[in-house]
Amino acid sequence: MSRRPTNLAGDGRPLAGLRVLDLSRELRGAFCGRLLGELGAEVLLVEPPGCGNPWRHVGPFAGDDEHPEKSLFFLYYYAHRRSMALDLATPRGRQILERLAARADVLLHDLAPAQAAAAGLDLEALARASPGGPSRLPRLIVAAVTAFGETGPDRDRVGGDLIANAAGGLAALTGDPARAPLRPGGDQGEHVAALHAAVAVLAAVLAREAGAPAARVDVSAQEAVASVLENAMEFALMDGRAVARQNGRHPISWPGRVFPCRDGSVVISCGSAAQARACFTLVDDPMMAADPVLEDRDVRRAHADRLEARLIQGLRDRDADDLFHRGQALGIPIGVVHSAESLLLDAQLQSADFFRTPSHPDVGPYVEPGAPFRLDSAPPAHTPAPRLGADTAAVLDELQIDAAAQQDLRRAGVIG
Amino acid sequence: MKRVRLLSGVRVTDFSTAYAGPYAGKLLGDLGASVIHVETAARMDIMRNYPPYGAAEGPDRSGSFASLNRNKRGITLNLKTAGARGVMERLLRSSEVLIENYTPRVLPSLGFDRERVRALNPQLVYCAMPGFGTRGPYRDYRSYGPTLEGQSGIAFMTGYEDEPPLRMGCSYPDMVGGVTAALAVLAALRRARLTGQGAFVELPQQQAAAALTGIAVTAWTVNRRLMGRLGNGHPWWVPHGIYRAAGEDRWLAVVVRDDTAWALLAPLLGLPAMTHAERRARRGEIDAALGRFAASRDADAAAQELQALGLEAQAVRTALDLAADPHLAARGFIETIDHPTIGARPYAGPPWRITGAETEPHRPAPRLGEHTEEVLAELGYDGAAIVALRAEGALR
Repeated sequence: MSRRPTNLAGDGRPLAGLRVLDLSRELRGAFCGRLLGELGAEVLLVEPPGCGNPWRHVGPFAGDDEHPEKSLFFLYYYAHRRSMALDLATPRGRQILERLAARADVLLHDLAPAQAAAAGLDLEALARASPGGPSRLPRLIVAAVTAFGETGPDRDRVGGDLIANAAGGLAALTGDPARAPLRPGGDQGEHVAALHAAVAVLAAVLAREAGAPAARVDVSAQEAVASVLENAMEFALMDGRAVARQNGRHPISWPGRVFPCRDGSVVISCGSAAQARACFTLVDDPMMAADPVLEDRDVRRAHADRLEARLIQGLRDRDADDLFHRGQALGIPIGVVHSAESLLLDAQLQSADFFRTPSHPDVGPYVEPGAPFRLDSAPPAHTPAPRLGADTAAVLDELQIDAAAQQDLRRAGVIG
Repeated sequence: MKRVRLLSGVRVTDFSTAYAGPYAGKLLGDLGASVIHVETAARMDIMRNYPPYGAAEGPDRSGSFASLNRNKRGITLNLKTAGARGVMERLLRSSEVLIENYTPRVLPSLGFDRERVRALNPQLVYCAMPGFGTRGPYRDYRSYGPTLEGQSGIAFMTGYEDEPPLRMGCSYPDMVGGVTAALAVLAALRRARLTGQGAFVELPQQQAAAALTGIAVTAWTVNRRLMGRLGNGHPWWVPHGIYRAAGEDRWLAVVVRDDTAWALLAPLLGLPAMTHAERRARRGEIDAALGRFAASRDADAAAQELQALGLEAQAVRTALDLAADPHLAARGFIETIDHPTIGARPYAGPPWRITGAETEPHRPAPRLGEHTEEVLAELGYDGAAIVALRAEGALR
C-alpha cells in the first residue's frame, strides 16, 4: 500500500484519474456510474449510434417534448459522464471497445450473462486484454450489476426496479396485506443495487491500487434489495417467521407510520414510552398521554388500533410544519412527508445548499438533488448528462485514431 | 489465484449504534476491513434490544444485532473516564477510518470534536452520520429511518394510486445511509492514500435519502408536475404492475417497456398489437387482462414462462421465500455463521460475489465487550495497565 503523498490527478476529487467504461442500459448501472462520476471518476458511456441509450426514450420529458436529449431519467441518471456513440455489433466497434477497455480501470455493465453473449461481448477477453504495467496482472475490474447476479439458475432473468423489488422481498413487505404488494416510490431497488455495486467496485479499486490483481465484481439487484429489509431476513432465517405487510405501520414500534394532517402528512416513529406519551401531548390530549398502556412497547402495539384512531383525530386538523417543530421540541421523532415542492423548501437542506441547478444545452437550467455527502465541506462539481455521441471524436483523438479514419468509421456507421 | 481480503489492513473504528452506522461498518467488514465496534455497557448498542431472539432473549442473542455486526470485533469503553479516552485516542491513531452516527453533540462532549480527532490522526477518514447535519436549523432534531423516509421525499411517492403516502416495509433511510457511508469512506480512503491527507466526511442521513429521489425534483422544477403515488404503475411504461396469482397471497410482477415486448405478451392476453400511446390509453383494460392471466396461474410458473419469452416477470418473494430460494442458495447468498451464544444459524449475504477476493464471513458478531482485552493488547496495553483500566471503570 502506497502512503507516499502524491497529487491526485485532475481536480483533486477522490476518484480523480479513475477511468470507468460504462456499458449500462439499466438504472442500476446508470446510477452506479453517476455515483462514481460525481466522486471524480472519468466515466465514458458507450451508446449505440442513432438511437442511443434506451433511457433517452423513456418519459417524462422536459416540456413533454419527446426528444432524446430531454428524458428526465437520462438527464438525472446519466449525469457526470462523457458519451461515445459506438456500434458494438460491428467488428470495428468491438475493436475500439477493446482499446477503451485496455486503458480503463473499471468496466461497468448490467447485462445478464446471456444478454452479454448475445451482444457479442466477451468480457473475460476484455479483462485479459488489459494487463497492467510491469506486473502484468489484470488491470481491468469488470463489474456487473445485474438483476439476479451472474451465477445461479435465475442468472439470465431480466428486469428493472419492479422485478428487483418483487424478487428481493421489499414489495412483499410494503403495502396493505389485503391488497397487492407495493413497489416503493422512485426506483429504490435499482438505487440500492447501484450503491452496493459502487461500494464493491471501490473496494476492488483500493485493493488493486495496493497491489492485488483486478477482481471481478458480480452484484445482484435481488440480493441488494434483500440486504435492506431491515430485520425481515433475520425473522425468516432465525425464527422461520414471515414479517407481513403492515400497511405502512412499523412492525415493532408504535406509533410508526404516516399520519394525515391538514395540509399534508407527517411521519411519526417512536421508540420509547416517553415519545409515545409526547405524541398525545402534541395534540393536547392529556388523558391519553397518561394512559398506562403507553408504557410498554408490546402493549402499545396490542392497543394500536384504539391509540391510533385517537391520534389520527388529534393530528388531522393541524399543519405539518407546526407539528414537526412542536413535536421535535417535545422530543418526538417526527418528520414532514415532503413532496418535491416542499423538499426544495426544507430549511435544513436549504442551509446545507443541498440542491443543484445545472444547465443542459437542450433543457436549460433545472434543479436536482445534491450529493449525499460532503468531503471537507466541498460540494462536488456537476457535469450534466451528455448529448448522444458528444465526446466520440475527442475519445477517438485520445486513442490516436486520425481524422481520416474517424471519417471512415462515421460513414460506415460504426461511430456516431 | 490467491484470494485476498480487499480491505485487508484497513482498521475501522465503528463508534455507532442502531442501524445506519453499524450497516456501514458491516459492509466494510464484509469486504475484509478490521472493524472494531465500540459500545458502552451502560448504553449498549440499541439493536441488542431488538428481536428476533431465537430461543431466548438477551443482549448477545439479538438476531438483528448479530447480522449487523458480524465480521466485527467489539469492545466496551466508558468514555466518561480518562482511561477510556486514552484508549480511544490510541484506537483512533491506529485506525484509517472512524464512523459514528450519534447526534452532533455526543463526540465533542466526550472530548473528541472534529479538530481534536484530526490532530490525533491527520490521515484518518472521519465519517460523521448525523440525522440532519452537524450544522443548520435541524441539527439537534431527532430522526429515525421512518421519519427521514418522509423528510427526504421518498414516502410521498410510495402508496396506492391516488391514495395517501405510505411508509415502505423497512426503515429504508437507515440502510441507505449505511451503504452511502461505506461508499463515502472508500472514496475518501482512496484520496487519503494518494495524498496522505485524511478527510472529514459529513453524511447527513436526510441528504443520503433525499439523494435517492431520482427525477422527482427535476420533474417538479421543469414540468411543474409532482411525482405522486402510482401504486405499482410507472410514469411511462404500460403495463407495469403486480397481479394476484393462484394460491394464498401469491403475486406476479410484469413489466412491458416497448412494442417488441408487448408483441410477445399481447397474444397471451388475447389483446392486439398496440403502440406505446395506445397502451397508455388502454391501461385499465390491459391491467384487467393481466389480472385474469395471473389469477389462474402459479406465480413462479408464469414468471418462468414469461421470462423464457424474454419478458420481465417475477413472482413476488417474501423474506421467508428468499430464505429457501434455490437460486440464492446456489449463489451462496445464505451463509451459516457459528456464534458462541446463538449457535450456528444462516445469515443473508452481502449482495456481491467478487472473484479473486475472500468474502465469506470470517467471524460472528461480538458478545458485549468480547474483544476488549484483545484489542487493548494490540494497542500496547499490558496486563497491569488493563487491570488498572478495569479498576477505574474505563472498560464498561
